[in-house]
Amino acid sequence: MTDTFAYWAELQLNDGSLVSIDLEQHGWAEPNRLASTRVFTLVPKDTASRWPFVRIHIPEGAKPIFKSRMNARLMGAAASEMGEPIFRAYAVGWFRDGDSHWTWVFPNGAIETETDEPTFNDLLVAATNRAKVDQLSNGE
Amino acid sequence: MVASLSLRVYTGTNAATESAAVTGIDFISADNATNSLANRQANPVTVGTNSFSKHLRLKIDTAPANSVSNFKFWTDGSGQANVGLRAKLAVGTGGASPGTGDTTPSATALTSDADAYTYTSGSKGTWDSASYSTQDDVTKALVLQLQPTVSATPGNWTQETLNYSYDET
Repeated sequence: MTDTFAYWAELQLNDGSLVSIDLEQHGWAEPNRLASTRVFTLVPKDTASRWPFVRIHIPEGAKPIFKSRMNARLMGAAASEMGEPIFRAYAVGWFRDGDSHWTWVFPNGAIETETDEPTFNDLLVAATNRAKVDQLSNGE
Repeated sequence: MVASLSLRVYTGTNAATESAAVTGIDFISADNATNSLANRQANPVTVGTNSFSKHLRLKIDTAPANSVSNFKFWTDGSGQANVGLRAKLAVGTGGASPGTGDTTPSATALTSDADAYTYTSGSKGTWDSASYSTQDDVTKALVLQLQPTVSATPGNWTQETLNYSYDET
């Protein structure tokens, strides 16, 4: 698995201007810029992949939010799997009045909205774990 | 930069000696961070006794753009018959390596721990709820211990799949 994000972002500001954002860059979440963002778009770096484009329209008074979730094996069916990364999911959304509204995206193209704890995440982890066990059983 | 975290084993007094990044751990009758067949053969766990506790922390090798947080741990909900796996989460304090507040690994049964298999995808354990942003910072500790009963079948433990996750902002 690569050690870079699968996405970069495009922000459309209140004045209509577009800003390209490297989500790995320290300081990208500059408060004034986020406060004037009305559209936040996740753009997949590899447009041939299953990662979807995701566009979030930010309501009045809300601020855009973004995070990723790394899933990994603490221990696996085979030796030497400790710490092995499985996949990274991404979440984009908006925050207002103490509430976060997330849209999650996964490497198989699945999308899940309006939850802090996406169930697709766990299903994909379990499926990946099973596939690994099957792979080992088949001597691959 | 995308954050890069690795698993470390902590041994010795107060579990304060940090290992290099590990890709496996041994549940054995000794306190070390070695992961090898020879190590397991030299330090077997007698049925009816406990393994030495294994103390793990995640260490930040490459700092995130902002922070990493929301560290969770879970299992598939079941394991080998007559071989308990116990877990104790959020042990000690994270921060500057090697962290603080942990105890010396031993074969004495853990206290204030839980059956690791009760932590499932639908009921994940919170490994650490704190947020970290600095290279070389470590999380709180996750402590594991194997507890084979006298009825356990001798031989290799059927290795389990355990998972963890964390959020990066």
